[in-house]
Amino acid sequence: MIKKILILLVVGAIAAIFVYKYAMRPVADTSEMKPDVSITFTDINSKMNASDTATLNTYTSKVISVNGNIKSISNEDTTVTIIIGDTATNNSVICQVDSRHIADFKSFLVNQNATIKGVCAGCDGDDMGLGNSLQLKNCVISK
Amino acid sequence: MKKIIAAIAFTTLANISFAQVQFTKNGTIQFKSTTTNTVDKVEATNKSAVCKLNTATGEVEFGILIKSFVFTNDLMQQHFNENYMESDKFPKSTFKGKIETLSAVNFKADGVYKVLVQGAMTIHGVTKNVKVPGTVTIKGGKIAISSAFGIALADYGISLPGAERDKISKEISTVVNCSLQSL
Repeated sequence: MIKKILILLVVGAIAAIFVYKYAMRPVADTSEMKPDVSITFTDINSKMNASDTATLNTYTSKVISVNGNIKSISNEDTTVTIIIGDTATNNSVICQVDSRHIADFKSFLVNQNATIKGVCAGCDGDDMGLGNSLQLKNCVISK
Repeated sequence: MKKIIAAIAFTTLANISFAQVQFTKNGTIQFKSTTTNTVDKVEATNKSAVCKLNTATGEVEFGILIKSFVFTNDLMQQHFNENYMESDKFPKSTFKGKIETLSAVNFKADGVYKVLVQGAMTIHGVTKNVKVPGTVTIKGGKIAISSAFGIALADYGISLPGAERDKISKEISTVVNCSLQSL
């Protein structure tokens, strides 16, 4: 009887640990994931100019790797946001850098060419006359 | 000569109107649920908020993609997008309004100006007219706007499943911070 109770307690404890680990798991690290799509800013910009945001929205929730020139870098508090684009257009790719990988981006400079990988949050249309923006989060350097 | 004067006048007016429009594509929106009935922090940050301000008219607009909110906890992020915000159905939230107390702001002088902003806030497909306090900070010619306010989930048709009701507060604390640049 006591043996059965002990077994139940051990099984219960192991189950509780698994449930806790499942519930408390951190967001996946994009550096450990292969991109579903690899694309250049030039291609993204062409699609945006052709009003083909529907194709860009098919990338939502996928890991995408974007190559292009860095238009701006914003360092605020402990976060970094990088905008990929060029001066000829208001269209852009906005990349929220994963806080676990901020140090990797320390040497990045504006006008530098870079390939950044992240989870696509969607394509925001040009409702305000500021250009379209493809938004990525949990971004890391794509190697 | 008249054509040259007209051209100079047009260019000057064009420059003035451009400076009147300020924007950012990496504004910050943070939200936090302040209940103490959970050990986890229910909070997230979005640093891809698009914001546009017209300093002449006080018109201000925001647009944010819901899936751009970054969480540290994966399950919380999943529940937020799939169950609460239904972000596949309602991918974007917007605010379109005006600074009601624009005359209190001197955009040419450094200072911190308290303002009142009124407009239409759309979240989860529901639009409500809101009035929120804000701050316009001018420093070295640069404009930053910020605001802190609560969002009542029920106002926007956001319902929580029974198991989550005690863990998430009915009103979410929201903070907005945007450093703007000339268009």
